[in-house]
Order: sequence, then structure tokens, then C-alpha cells
Amino acid sequence: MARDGDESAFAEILRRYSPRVFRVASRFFRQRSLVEEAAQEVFLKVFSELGSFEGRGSLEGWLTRIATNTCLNLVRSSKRRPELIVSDLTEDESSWLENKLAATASERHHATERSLVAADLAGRVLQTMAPDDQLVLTMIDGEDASVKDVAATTGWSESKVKVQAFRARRRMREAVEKLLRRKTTTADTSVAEAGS
Amino acid sequence: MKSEHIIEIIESGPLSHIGADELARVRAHIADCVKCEEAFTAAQIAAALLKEHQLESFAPSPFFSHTCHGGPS
Repeated sequence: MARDGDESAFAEILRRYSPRVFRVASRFFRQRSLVEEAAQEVFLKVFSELGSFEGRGSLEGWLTRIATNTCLNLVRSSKRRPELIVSDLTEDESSWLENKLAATASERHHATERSLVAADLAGRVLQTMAPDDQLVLTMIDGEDASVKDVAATTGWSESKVKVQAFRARRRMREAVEKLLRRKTTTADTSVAEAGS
Repeated sequence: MKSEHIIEIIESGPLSHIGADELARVRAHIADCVKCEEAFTAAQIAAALLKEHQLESFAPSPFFSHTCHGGPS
């Protein structure tokens, strides 16, 4: 019915699938306003391309794919990715990182506290990475999606997903390592200055 | 075995998917290799960050719910 331009059918699609679209957009954007803009663009695209949906797969799968690719393109077209440095961290983020480091060192890392601070820091680290890296990491390592799921969502081959995930994991790990190294250096300098 | 670096293990898949045997190999190796220990610590933090990230998701705004309850479309 929506394909025939039925307004109530459009409304039903919006109602049923907006949580899904918002979840996909939240993988890419940390600000509500950006998530909202992305969702609006996704639905514009969905409604204009609904005629081309052949009904072979699920509508949700088709819509998720549009949402993912729309968000990827939005991130790709935005400004250059900033490098995250220790001085950019808020006090809360800095202390989360310190606690995490201490917990990891003392083997207590399994007790992960679910905090907004960490989610925000995660978003900031991810924003320094390429959109494709962000996507595979949030889906595979964050949401436990399978390689097959990511391939279906993006239209990439499973081999590409595997290689992308492997490289993205390395880049994320290196970004965190860099952050930790700088943090240690900053702390050492502060101690040295306090002692002099 | 102990002398082989473990970077490939920690990058081959999500950290939570590493099996007990491989984890034991990682732990044995990082006891003597500072570089790999740093990499493993960073990988653990990265994994924790990614788990936190997926917990934060925005809910649809009123525009979408108004539309669904028969409001402006």
C-alpha cells in the first residue's frame, strides 16, 4: 500500500521502523540532532525508493541497508576526522580511562561499568576512525553481529567484512594505545613538575 | 610458543570470542613481552568501549511518534 502512495501506510512504516533506523544512526552519530537528521534522510530515501523494493527479502533488512549506507555516506561527506588527544578528554572520560587501565592491570576488567561517560568516550574514539571501520567495529565487536549480518547490511562481500574488521580492530587498538601512552606521559610530567 | 607475539590473536576477532587456550597463550606471552601487554590492555579497553557504545542509542523523537499516533504526517 505504501508503494501506491498510501499515507497511512507510510506512517505505519515510520512508526514500526523508526526505532531500528535510530539505532543504526546512533552507531554513527553522538548527537541527537545528527541522529535525527540522518533518520529523516533515511526515510526520505525509503519513501522515494519504496517502488523499487521487490519484496524478496524483509522490509526491515532493506530499510536497514538503506539506513546504513545513508549514514555511511553522511559520515564520509562530513569534515575530516579529528585526532583525539588526551587534552581533549573530559575529566570524567579521563578518570574512566584511568580506572579501566587500573582494573585491567589488576585483572578486574570483567566488571565493566555501564556508564554514559564510557559510551561518550567510545563515540569520540570511533569518530577519529574511517566510517567503514566504525561500522564493522560497532556491529561485530559491539553488537556481536556476524560477518554475514554485516555483509547483508552493507552489501559488501564476507571477505571484505573480515578484512575490514581485522584492520579496524588494529586501528582502534592503536588509537587507544596512543591515548594511554600520552596519558602516562602527561601523568609522568605532572609528577615531575610537582616534585621540582 | 611463548616467544610468538600475540597481536594476531587479539585482532583476529572480538576479544570476547578468544578461547580459553588462546587466552592462556596470550597471558603467558604478555608476562614477558611489554609491547604485547600494552597491546592487549589497549585491546581490552577498546573492546569495553565498543560494548559501552552499543548501549547508547537514541530513541525516535516526538515527530516520529506523533506521526504514528495519527498526528501530523
